[in-house]
Amino acid sequence: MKSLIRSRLALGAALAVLLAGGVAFAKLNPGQKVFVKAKNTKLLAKPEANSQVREILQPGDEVAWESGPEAKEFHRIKSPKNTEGYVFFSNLALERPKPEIFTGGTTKDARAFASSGAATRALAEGAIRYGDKKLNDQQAVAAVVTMEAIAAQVSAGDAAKLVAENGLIPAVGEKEKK
Amino acid sequence: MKRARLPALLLLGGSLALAGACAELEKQTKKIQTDTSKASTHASETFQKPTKEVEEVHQGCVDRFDVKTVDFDEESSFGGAMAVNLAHSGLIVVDAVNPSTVKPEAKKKATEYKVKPTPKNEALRYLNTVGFNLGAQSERASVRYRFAVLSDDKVVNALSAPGGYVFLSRALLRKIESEDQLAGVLAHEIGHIVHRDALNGYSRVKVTACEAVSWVRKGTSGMKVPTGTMVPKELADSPLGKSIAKLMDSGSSALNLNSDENSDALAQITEKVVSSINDLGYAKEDEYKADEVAVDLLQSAGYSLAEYAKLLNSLQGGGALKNHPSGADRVAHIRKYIDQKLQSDPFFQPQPKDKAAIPLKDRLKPLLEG
Repeated sequence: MKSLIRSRLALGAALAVLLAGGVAFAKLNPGQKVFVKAKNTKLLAKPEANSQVREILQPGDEVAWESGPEAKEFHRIKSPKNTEGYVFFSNLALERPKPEIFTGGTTKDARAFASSGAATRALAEGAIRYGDKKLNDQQAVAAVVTMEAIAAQVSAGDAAKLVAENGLIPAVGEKEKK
Repeated sequence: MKRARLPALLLLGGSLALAGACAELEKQTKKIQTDTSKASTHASETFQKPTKEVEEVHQGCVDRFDVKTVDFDEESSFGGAMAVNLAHSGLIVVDAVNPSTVKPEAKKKATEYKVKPTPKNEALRYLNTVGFNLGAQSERASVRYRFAVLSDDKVVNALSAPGGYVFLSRALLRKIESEDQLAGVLAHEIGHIVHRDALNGYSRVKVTACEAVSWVRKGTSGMKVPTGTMVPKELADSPLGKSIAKLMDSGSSALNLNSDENSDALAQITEKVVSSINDLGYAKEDEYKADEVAVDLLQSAGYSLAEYAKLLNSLQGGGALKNHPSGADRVAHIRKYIDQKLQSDPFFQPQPKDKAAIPLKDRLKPLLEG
């Protein structure tokens, strides 16, 4: 009986997550600086998912908010290059992403970090040595390398295809400007 | 490869259930827990208000080795070692490349390995596609997140390592009923990486080693830290202590984990961190923060938040790990967080109440077999 009550309470709590709507939205002011958060954010000519792409923006780019939401999901913004257009609500954040730390304690913003290639490196020499010499387990090293190789095969295009198949929000664009 | 002998825990995120850490290291780790654990009985019995000297030594080490000083090279090298440790303890379900073809990243890129297009690897590719889409919307969108499955069929668990490594146990995978739930688990682990939770543990071990070295150099036996925990003197003489001592002399903070001379230190610090998280899990606050990231990412990508809550409620949390909140507590926290976001973040939109779950369509089935 106790477990039945508990499971009903749990289900109620789960459903309550959905009922959290109806709260007043926070407001933005035209011209307010906000930040791009999703990789390859498409700046669209119209508030439509398949509209012409005017520019590709990257995480950390500071943009000026103009209006929104329009057609429920889109906000009108102006890019650092002064290009105006629409992005999904999911593409924007109120705060700039924290910078990544580099050698000597220097920092790089998200765009510079992405272009450095640091984040896409494969298994480091020390980790391979640890697996080979300390754990005496080359299979474990090979398994992690395979994990990395499979992840490296996945592209933004693959993610976009999955998003389209499932009717998700296409916040992450393919890199190429259409 | 060794099969995992995992303790019977039921949780999501943060538990590193490993058999690899040796008993001696575990003893030392328990002694040097600082921020995430209570002081040992011995320490609390003898603890008095820290002297100015104790505080100065501690602060000097924090300033030098805090997580804010850990650069991405160090993070990814340490994360790689943690990933190998996890793979060693719980075989990754994958048709792996030939071990003889493995070379360090400087000599061979991840894209240069030829991966067989087997059903298992294709299922992992799907897992990585779901994860890629989430990671690319996270606060650390440029990190390359990698997702894999551990062969453990008993412990419902997910865990992550710095640098972007995420693992799910096969037992957890069996409980997942929709892509939304899968996305929730992956997003929660991305949250731990975004907040550098395991890396915080790594930095704390470096700080403690620095304190041990400092006290030995002062020639005193009163090696206390401000929390009252005793720093084991042996730590100063260990490979890690020696590596940290060299750093202290050189004026640098970054431990070159790829250098052969630091290989013993890397092994020591990896096993310390793994066994520490294994014993205690992350702090409750860290789990709640990771759930907040999960909510942000699910909502941003368009997955059902209710599906994630449903999964959390189906898990028996808390119990074995001192710090781990229960599923019900986590759902309650998520509810509060959504309320707060709706009021404060104009880019956070409520989901339709009838939002349907996305079926998995047997896409993960090859990972559940054999």
